[in-house]
Amino acid sequence: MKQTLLKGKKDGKYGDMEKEHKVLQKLMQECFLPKGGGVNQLSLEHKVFLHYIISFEKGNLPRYIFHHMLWALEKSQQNDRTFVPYGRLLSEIFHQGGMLKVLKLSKAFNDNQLGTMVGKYINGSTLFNMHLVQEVDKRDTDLQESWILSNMMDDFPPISKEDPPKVRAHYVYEHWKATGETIKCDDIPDTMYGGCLPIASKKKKSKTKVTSEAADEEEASEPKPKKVKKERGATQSQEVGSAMPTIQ
Amino acid sequence: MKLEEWQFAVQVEILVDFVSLTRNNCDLTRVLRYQDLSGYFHMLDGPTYENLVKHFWVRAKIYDKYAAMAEEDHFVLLDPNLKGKSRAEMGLKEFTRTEIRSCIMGIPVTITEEVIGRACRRMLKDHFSGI
Repeated sequence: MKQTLLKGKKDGKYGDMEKEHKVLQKLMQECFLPKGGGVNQLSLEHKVFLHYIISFEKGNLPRYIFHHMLWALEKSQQNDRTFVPYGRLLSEIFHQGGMLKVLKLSKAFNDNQLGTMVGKYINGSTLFNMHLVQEVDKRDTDLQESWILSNMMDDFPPISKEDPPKVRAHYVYEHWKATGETIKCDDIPDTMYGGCLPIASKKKKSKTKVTSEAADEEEASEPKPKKVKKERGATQSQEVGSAMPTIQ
Repeated sequence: MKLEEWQFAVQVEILVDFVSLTRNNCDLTRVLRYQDLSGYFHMLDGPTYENLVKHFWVRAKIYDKYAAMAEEDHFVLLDPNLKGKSRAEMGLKEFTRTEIRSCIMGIPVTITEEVIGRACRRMLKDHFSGI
């Protein structure tokens, strides 16, 4: 194990590892067996699994994950460990179990209440931050967090309460003409759905909100609200007090 | 458990952009494809429901062989005649593997190794007895 990972050194450290192994170690720390803390610490569990991966021996990942989950649960019950590992994996299990379908049908919860977010990602820039490469080759096709859509966002209306009442009424009318379904006032969201979810971070403060720029871009892409933008100044005073007309 | 639901911090797995990594001279695809992990990394590409996970974690209990033994002892305490009898005779299910049991909004959720394997979109090659 020491030969494959640490070039045969007895007291091998993180610095002795090769570049690709360092990235694999980061993957291990963040995905397979998350422990919290720095990447520099090599635990025995990580070393063994890394050894399996590097030396092309098949390892049973679900078993490792399950045992790590048991370990984490025991720790949090006995020693007050606050970290909950495998957020995405557990969400996927809930999703596959049909839990989210039930929640979606009940319409009692939205993304804010469920605390929906997406994970960060590793790409070339991460390598640069880890001081493994000198220059980064960035392209537009790189992964973006905003590509991920929430499962709760199937039939999200492209209007919000920020739009003037005229626009809302017109959209509701058009929607009713096209599909025969009415949209109730409560179903219209307060703000425009910007298309991106908050990004998970170890620091709690850095949860990003949907930027107003993104919302503006969405509006600009649709022809109807653009026209009304000019009228907004005139109708703003009405907007506050007037109730939303619904077609029944 | 002493901890409250809001005190937990959920660790979300990070997505991996293998194309970008390969372009920067760090090709991991060969190593990870051998481990049959493509399904796992595909699975990571999706939203995480933080509050649901916390809700699950607070109520989670480990059901292992010790928990099963405690369950048997509890039944024997209720009815001393059952002492020395098998689990089937006590009216309990046979203990086969370690599980994590919890519930979300009243719906019971059980997690075993197979469930994780299925969530990773990967078939288990060997069977895990859990004892």
